Amino acid sequence: MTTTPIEIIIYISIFLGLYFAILTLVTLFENRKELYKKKRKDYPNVCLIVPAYNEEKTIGKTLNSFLKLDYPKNKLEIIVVDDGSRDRTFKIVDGFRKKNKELELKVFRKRNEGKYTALNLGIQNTKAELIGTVDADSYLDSKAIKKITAYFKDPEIKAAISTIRMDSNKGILSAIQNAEFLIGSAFIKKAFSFLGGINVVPGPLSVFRKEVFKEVGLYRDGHKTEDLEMAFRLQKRNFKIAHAVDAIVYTTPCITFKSLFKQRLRWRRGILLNIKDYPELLNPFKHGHLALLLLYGLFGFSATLFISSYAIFKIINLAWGKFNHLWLINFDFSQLLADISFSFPNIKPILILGFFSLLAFISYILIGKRISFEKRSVKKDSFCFIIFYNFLSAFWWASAIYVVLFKKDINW
Amino acid sequence: MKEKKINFKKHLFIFITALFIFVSGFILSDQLFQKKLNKLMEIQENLRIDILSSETQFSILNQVSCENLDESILSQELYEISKKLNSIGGSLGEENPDFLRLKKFYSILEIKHWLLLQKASQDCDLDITSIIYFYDKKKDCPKCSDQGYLLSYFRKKYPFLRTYSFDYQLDLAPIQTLKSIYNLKKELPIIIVNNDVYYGFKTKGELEEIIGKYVDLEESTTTESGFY
Repeated sequence: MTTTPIEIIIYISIFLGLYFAILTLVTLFENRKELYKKKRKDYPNVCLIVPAYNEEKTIGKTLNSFLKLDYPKNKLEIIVVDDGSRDRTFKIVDGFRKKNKELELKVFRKRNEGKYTALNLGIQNTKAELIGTVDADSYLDSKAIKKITAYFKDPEIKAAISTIRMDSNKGILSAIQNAEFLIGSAFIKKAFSFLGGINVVPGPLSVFRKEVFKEVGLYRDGHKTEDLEMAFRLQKRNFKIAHAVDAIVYTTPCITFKSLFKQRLRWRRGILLNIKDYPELLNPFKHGHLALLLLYGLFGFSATLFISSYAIFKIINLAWGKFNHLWLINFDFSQLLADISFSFPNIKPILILGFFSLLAFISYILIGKRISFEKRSVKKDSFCFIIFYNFLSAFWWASAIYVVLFKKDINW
Repeated sequence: MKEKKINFKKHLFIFITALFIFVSGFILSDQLFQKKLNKLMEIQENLRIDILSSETQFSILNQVSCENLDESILSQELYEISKKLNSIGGSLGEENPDFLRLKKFYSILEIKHWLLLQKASQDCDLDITSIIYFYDKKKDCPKCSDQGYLLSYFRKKYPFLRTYSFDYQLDLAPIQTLKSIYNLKKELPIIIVNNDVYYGFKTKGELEEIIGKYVDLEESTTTESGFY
């Protein structure tokens, strides 16, 4: 059988994808008894910092979720830092503070200097043992803090991240993001945590020991991805980061193509620029699995870009061929039905291995759903993810490469 | 950190497992392909028997057979084989010796079917329109693929038309004979309708005009292949 150079590249991508799938599945299986931590009897003091900039639509839900937390109120401190909002954010928070005196809630207001400065202001104004960050467009499951603090029983754990779930999975974009997070935030992050490869401490909910900030310093801009930069800094010092897969935080999905593009462009640009700032993390002899996973990620995005471009080229080529044929017969649709005949396609290895890859993706989603206790049906989410995600991701990567190469700045 | 360090034993196990799954994908594909190839050969063999029995039946019964002989099934089988052959060509490659062997065999079957039709046409005094089409590889004849599509379209629209397509470059004695009988020049695509030769790409309108010289197309569309 003939194999084209393009197919050889696809085969290499599939082999590495299989390798990655087995690595993550085997790691989860090996550690199946350590997926969750038993709740602790003592309750450490926790401070949750909420940086907010023009969040009038969502911050109410965030604050209300603090009221419902299954955690002693006298052990909980909330700090909201209004980073110079021009909407009603401050008023909403202040009103909430006055109404709910049982919560220890402090509100700071400062001029707009960026999310990382708001986080730092909060960190500098607490004495709590554990410091958490919560995005103002996210809200916590009532058990989230209890679950995530349990991981700090291990003195080696310096930080713990949560599982991010979409607030809603209605609509195609929300469904894609929900499946993406079941894979990325539940399944893969859990496997990565066992491999020492967590590469981000996400804004929706991450908790740190207070001394971490003394040891590695406060948040930095990190090319507008301060959560990625902080994780890289922790990893550089070989600090252990856990994943509390059972600590759930809900976040609002991007519902327009434009807002999703802006967010993903910022994240991907952040990955490229932060890797450039911390190249030593790519050394497998020094950083083991983290380096392998980062290298795999870089290869993965190149493969996504390549395979998606090739698929788009093939689809356009096929569509053009069909159009040309219709044009040849003067668009005589009466014979079109006669033209449709099913003939079984040639079973090339690429098709079978592609099917294996599809099974791997479905298993990622199902395992992610199971270990993070997602109760909603994810059939539509999986379908939309499998059909569209590669193309979207390739587009985001291509745009990120463009803005990095041409040193274009981006907005939040 | 126990897991951050790379465990080479674990990675060796993962590598072997990945390799096993990867290779099994190739083995499975090869087995399915062989099955498809065997099926095609089986159909070709059946077709050969069908043609031989039709020839024999026709020879034995002579005039009486005019009412009984039905070659339209054979024609449909030939068409099915051509589709499968195209698919095999896409997998094996146009220059693959196995594919070329199958293609030669298919071409011979086509010629035999054409001869049978010619004889039936003479002996039973039937009005049959047959089209012989010569094509070449895409790089040597960029328009051949479009011409082939148009002829398939005509075959579906006018079921009474019998179309036989041949690779101009195929090294096969009967094809060389056909080429010399019609004294063909290498100006592809070539269409021969009822012994008249037409060179170059023909559009839908041009083809309708050409075929219209031999048969009333408007009337024929409605009367499905009713000559047998």
